[in-house]
Amino acid sequence: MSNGLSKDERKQLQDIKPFVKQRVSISLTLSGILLLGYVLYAYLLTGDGALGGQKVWGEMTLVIIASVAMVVLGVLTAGIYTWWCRNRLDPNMNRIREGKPHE
Amino acid sequence: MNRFGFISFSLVAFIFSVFAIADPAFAAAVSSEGVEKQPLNMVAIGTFLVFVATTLLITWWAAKHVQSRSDFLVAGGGLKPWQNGMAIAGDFMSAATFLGITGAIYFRGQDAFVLGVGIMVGWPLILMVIAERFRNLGSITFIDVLSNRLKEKPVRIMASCISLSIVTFYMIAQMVGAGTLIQILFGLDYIWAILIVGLLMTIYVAFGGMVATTWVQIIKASLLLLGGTYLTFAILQTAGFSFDAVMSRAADISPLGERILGTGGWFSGDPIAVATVALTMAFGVMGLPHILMRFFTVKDASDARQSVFYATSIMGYFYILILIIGLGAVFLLATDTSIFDENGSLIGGANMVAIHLSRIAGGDLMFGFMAAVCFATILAVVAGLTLSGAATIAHDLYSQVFSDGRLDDKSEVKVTRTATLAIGVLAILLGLAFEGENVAVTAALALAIGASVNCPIIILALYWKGLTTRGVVWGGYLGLALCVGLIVASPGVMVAALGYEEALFPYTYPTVISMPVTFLLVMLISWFDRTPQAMVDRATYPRQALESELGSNIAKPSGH
Repeated sequence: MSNGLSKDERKQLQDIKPFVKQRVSISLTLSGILLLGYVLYAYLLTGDGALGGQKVWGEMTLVIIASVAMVVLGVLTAGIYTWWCRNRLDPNMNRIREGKPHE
Repeated sequence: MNRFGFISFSLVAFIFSVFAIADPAFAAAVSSEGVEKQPLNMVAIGTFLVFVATTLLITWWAAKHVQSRSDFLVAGGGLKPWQNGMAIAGDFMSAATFLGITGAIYFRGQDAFVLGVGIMVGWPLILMVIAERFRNLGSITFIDVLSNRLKEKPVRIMASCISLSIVTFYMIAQMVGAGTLIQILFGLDYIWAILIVGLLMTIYVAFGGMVATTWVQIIKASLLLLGGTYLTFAILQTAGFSFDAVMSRAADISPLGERILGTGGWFSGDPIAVATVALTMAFGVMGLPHILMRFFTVKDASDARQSVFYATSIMGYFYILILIIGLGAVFLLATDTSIFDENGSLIGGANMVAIHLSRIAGGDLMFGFMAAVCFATILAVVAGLTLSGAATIAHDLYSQVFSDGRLDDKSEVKVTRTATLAIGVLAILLGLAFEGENVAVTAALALAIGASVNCPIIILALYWKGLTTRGVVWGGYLGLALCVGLIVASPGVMVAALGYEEALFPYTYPTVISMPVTFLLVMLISWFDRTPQAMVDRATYPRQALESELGSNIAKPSGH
């Protein structure tokens, strides 16, 4: 035993590492995009309102476009992440969980 | 489960509700201050009675299937992702969202939509940062996850204090909101509204547990989506199905003018005011115990992920509706002078914007329907809160702390039912005690505690090897004290409740200070922790990391 893990567990930990790494990079990228968008949106709400209140298309202001875009971005990032995990991550994790060899 | 007892209880509750509604003279004996009571609304009452009858039937059905602690508290992990997703969305499509954000957009313009945008940022973050790991590590409450590798008793006690504080503050806001709103919507007196909500939520939770609570949320969310879609359609129809026309008419009529479509209506451009609200909304969700508990109601991490995706999609659709409804209300409400008093103020205040709009857009039938849906909404949210509070008392405190985890399933269910009853009584008493008080600050406090205390602890527990029991416990208590202290020093308490001219802390939400400070406190205390327990806490991190990825099925015999 080492670090409270048995030999099999240590092996599982090694096996999942590349997939966890992939997931971390995907989730960091998506979270980063989402948070960057949120910061920009919040920035539009500050100051004298000249930027956020700028008309972009008809009566549509920049801040309304940004807020709708943030709602859509929230759904999109959730969808992309769920799709990726279901199709790429889960099959590999299930294989490791069941103790099957690499394909 | 004693079926006779249940049926008698349900009948008493039902007759009690009908009696309260049918006997205005009796109800009128108890007055409420400062709110204009409306005449009895039969459509609203009829719709609500159908909702109550349906949900009580579901509760009866659910009660028959409760065999174990897991069945009762987390539906045996057997909910489908769409069911859980609808229920999660239902938790967020509350009266505060529908009535509160609509009213805020009506009065403060586009700035107020940050309340919805923040939540739409918070959910994908929950999905990517904690959902799967939570499902793999926990079983009943989020405290199971925190105590996974740390010393159980002190962590459970500290986290239970935070959890119960959030539930209590949220409950006060919901109960007082319910009493006031129902008084306006149904023509019922405050005390009856409180008693009906208290009694029904106790029945749902005590007998039907998580299954009944989930179905109440699903039905209510469907009704709210239906009503919201109708209102949006009616607004767009009035404006010739042009969103441009909706915006231009709103800007023409609103006292804010063009600013209703731009910024400055709420925050006056103050970056700290924007930052603190934005942080609270995006990260507060991550710390709400009744929401976190929902990850354990599905069979595995994959289903937990799908639930969050469904919930995010449903909420996204709903928030877009809210934006259109809020702006549409500005010009549609102006067409009916009867909803304004002699001073030109909207009767019932900001929370009544969506309800007045329902009458204008769909007549008395729509008004009654939306009023009933709002009642159902409050009922569903308090049922979820009650279940979460009861689970904390029974599972985290009574079973795991006081009985050292030796309590059997049956006894734990019994304790949970008793705790539910106690919370039901407490909720009624709190609702009555806070009648006429400004409770907006209590809802802010619940979200702020979620963002400032629970969120840092949860993230560090999942991702930082250096976290120790001492760091979590002391950091948690100090973070909670700081958060509550700043709220007490905020205008919501110092100016509105205590009557001071100026507040020591100028913002409603303390998150911009309390969240980073809690992160720092927990990390610093853990960093300097050199106790033997700290060594054990750090050494068990790899096991937790493995379990959080693979669930409890780790270390099966290798196939190599």
